[in-house]
Amino acid sequence: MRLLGLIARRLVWVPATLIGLVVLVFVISHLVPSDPARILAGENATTAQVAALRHKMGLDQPLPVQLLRYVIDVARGNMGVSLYTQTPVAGEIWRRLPATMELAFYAMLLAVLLGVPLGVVAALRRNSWFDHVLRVVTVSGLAIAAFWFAILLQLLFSMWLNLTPVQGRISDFGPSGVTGFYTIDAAISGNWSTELDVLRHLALPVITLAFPAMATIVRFTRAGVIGTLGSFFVDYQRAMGVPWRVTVWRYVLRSALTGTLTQIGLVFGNLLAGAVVVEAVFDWPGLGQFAVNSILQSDYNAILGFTIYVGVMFIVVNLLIDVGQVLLDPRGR
Amino acid sequence: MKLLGRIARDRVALAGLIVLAVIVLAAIFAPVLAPYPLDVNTYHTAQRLLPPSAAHWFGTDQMGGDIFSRLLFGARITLITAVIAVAVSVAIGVPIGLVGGYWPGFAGDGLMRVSDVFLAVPQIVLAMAIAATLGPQIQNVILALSLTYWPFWARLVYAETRNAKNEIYVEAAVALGVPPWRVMVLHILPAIAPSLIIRTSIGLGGTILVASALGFLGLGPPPPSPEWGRMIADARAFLPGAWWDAAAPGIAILVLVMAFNLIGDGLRDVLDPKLRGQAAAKGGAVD
Amino acid sequence: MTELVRVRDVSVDFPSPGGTAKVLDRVNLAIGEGEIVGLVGESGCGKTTLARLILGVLPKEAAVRGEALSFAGRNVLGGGAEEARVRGAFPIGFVPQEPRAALSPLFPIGAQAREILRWSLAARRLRGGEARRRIAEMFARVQLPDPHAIMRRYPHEVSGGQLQRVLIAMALLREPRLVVADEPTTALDVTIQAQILTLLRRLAREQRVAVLFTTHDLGAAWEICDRITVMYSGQDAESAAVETFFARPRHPYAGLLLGSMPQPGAGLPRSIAGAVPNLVTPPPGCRFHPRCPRALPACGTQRPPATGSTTQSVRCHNPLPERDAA
Repeated sequence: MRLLGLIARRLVWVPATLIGLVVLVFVISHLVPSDPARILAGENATTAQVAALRHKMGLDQPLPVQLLRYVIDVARGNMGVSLYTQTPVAGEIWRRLPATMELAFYAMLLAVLLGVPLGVVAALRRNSWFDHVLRVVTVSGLAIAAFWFAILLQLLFSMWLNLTPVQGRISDFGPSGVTGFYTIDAAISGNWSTELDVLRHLALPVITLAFPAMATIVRFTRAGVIGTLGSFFVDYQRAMGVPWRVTVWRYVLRSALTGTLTQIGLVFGNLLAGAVVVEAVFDWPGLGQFAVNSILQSDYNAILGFTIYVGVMFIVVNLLIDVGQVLLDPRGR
Repeated sequence: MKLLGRIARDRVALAGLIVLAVIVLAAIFAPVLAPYPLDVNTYHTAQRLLPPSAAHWFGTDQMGGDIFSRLLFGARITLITAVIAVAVSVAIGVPIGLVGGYWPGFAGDGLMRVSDVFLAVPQIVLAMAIAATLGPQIQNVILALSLTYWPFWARLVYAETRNAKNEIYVEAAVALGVPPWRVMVLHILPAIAPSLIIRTSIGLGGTILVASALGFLGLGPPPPSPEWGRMIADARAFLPGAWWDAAAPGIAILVLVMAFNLIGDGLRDVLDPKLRGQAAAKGGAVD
Repeated sequence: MTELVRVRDVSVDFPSPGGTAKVLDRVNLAIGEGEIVGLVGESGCGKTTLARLILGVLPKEAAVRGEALSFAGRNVLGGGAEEARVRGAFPIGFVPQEPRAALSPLFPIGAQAREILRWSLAARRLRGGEARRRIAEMFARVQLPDPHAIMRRYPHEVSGGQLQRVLIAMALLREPRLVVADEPTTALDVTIQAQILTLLRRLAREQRVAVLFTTHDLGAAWEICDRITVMYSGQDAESAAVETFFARPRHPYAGLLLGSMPQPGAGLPRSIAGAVPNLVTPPPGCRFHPRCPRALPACGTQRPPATGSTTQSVRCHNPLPERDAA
């Protein structure tokens, strides 16, 4: 019941936050008066042609009216047409979503699978050489510029060692399939050479994104475990004959992870932010690349659409985290 | 063993401080220190893409510019951008967070909803949009970073103020009839100052990363500015041959950001004994 | 009575910001088979440290020295594999001061009891259903209503008094020969304190388990103990059978402690002049001597040896007279 209440209370704010976001981005993209109609009409268009186009796009209306019409359109699922590609923005985003999700999913998976055990071991061997080395690694992970790390990996693994492709998501055409995750689609169709190709393309962008995420998870897990190791129940279980490994990997880890979970939202946000630049470096046909292209071309229907999409994703992820938190910690139920 | 670890930890923070001091001094005295101070703006096509040597410590770039000299001048851009952007966001976010946390009713909630809107997308996306609309200028980069970073501070101060408001000394001051602005400035602000100082250090590092990403995407100051992100972007075309051209600015970013992070970690240990151990990893956490 | 636990001249030091704190100084303690021993003293006298030493959960930075800490005659002070072996064969039940802090808030009570049972000598190979039955049985024995329901609950859903019963049950699940109860009732309401103490005493008697019961409450010790050891500032002062002790304590500190107990109709209790010494630079000799009305010059130089009988032994150069002299 408390859980439903929590979800309801959070959901109430979702539309308001999203409308605020649309207004914000709308204002940003109109900070400087620009004339998309002129760009679209081309250099040889007459003034009359531009005016006609402007009228057709509703650009001759006052800004507040344009904004209102946009909000209503979005509520109906229409995000308008990209000024450059002339295709509906919603469709373009939908088409690119799996590429980014696949990247983010594997990066998150790698970060958690590496970060949690490393964090626990570092906490158990506090101030050992292992802890110090790991600290250097995590501090670097949080200080490295993602685009530079990406280039470094390309230089090393693609250009010098020739192990991975420099750019792209796949060598020829993507496997047909329902999920849009090439790794899964290729596996379903049993196309193993494609699978291998997909994995080789995935490796570098995933590592780039996973590195800072892993660093964050290591740090939070380590701090959480160290904090929990000071709990009295750890001493109690030791006195009562429960083996140390059981106390650590079952009881302490569970407490520490409950705290780490709250940071997954932060990690996910950083992952999306990282995807924007990492996709640009690896020419990855996902949302990040779409965002960079749209922004560089002042394609503001596309910018707005992307921002709303990311906003929704972010809000949903944070809601899921709150729910997970409640489920993990019985005191909140 | 434990004592040794503690000394080592402080030494790491000290190392960060020394590295930062060196970079700041190098930036200030760049015109004196740079072996080829004119290389920021002039071209020597005969000397393009030379590998590191005694004459050019970090090699030369595609315009024949000495990379080391350009890095020194680039440090100025990076530091100024980060310091102003963080200062402006703190100046906007802290009062909003204080007021919001002090009167958590309607006004406070409203302010926090506004900051929620900003926090609903990664900072870099909004900053990119603003920087792209305004045009590639260093002032615009600073503006874009400030406008998108203040909500983080508002959130942080809001949460801390709400906690501090329940402290007995604050309640006592309120009960004694001390006016709200005095309570905020004289009682609450000092109480939350340690965590603000820690976050400022880490925030400077984070802002440098975002700013350099904007530069990398072409949204920073225009060429021939020696902005580090742009230097890396320009160097990409000459890989893998002229690897030093891409490597040097990236290392500069790494070292500078790492210095800020290490100082932040060190400050945490010194300023906030409460946080020691249990939350030693809250570096850059949003909430 | 066979001797179960013996602490002989054991000292424990802790590093502290101001220097080394000498928390225990050549302490002696004996617990017999099935005996309930009260370890009495003010906060900071080292009784909890002594309890933790016996439980084997002193913090890593503690430095332990001394003659012997033996369980059923086998010394574990050397540490290492020998300590692990002896302790493995000598399960101790632990009933801590804060029952809520002893349990993880994230797991149901039954699961945590099961964990204790799973790793105890007595029940290593029990199946799930059988283990559950054993736990429910033990919960019933500590008079918990509806044991199965409690097993499904989380610690925060159960009252402090009931949680302490759960912990007593968990201590007994190990089938120990000794239960260490470290101020088990301090965190509880006064009305519940008595119930828990009675329960502890009854179960100890039924199962022939020895109990080391630390408390600052002489009244509680009187209620349930067979014997009392009084500690002052990390030193053992006096050890005596409970009736003997309450009739006539012989250590001056014990006498003053008894005199400071509030009694109906006796007006305000007397307090002891002076303050407890700090543990970094404790007074030499008997640590009580600066506050002691009966102190002799020797008290400031030399720790007095134990004198008297097995019913009442005292470490004092100038003890109060024995019973018949009063």
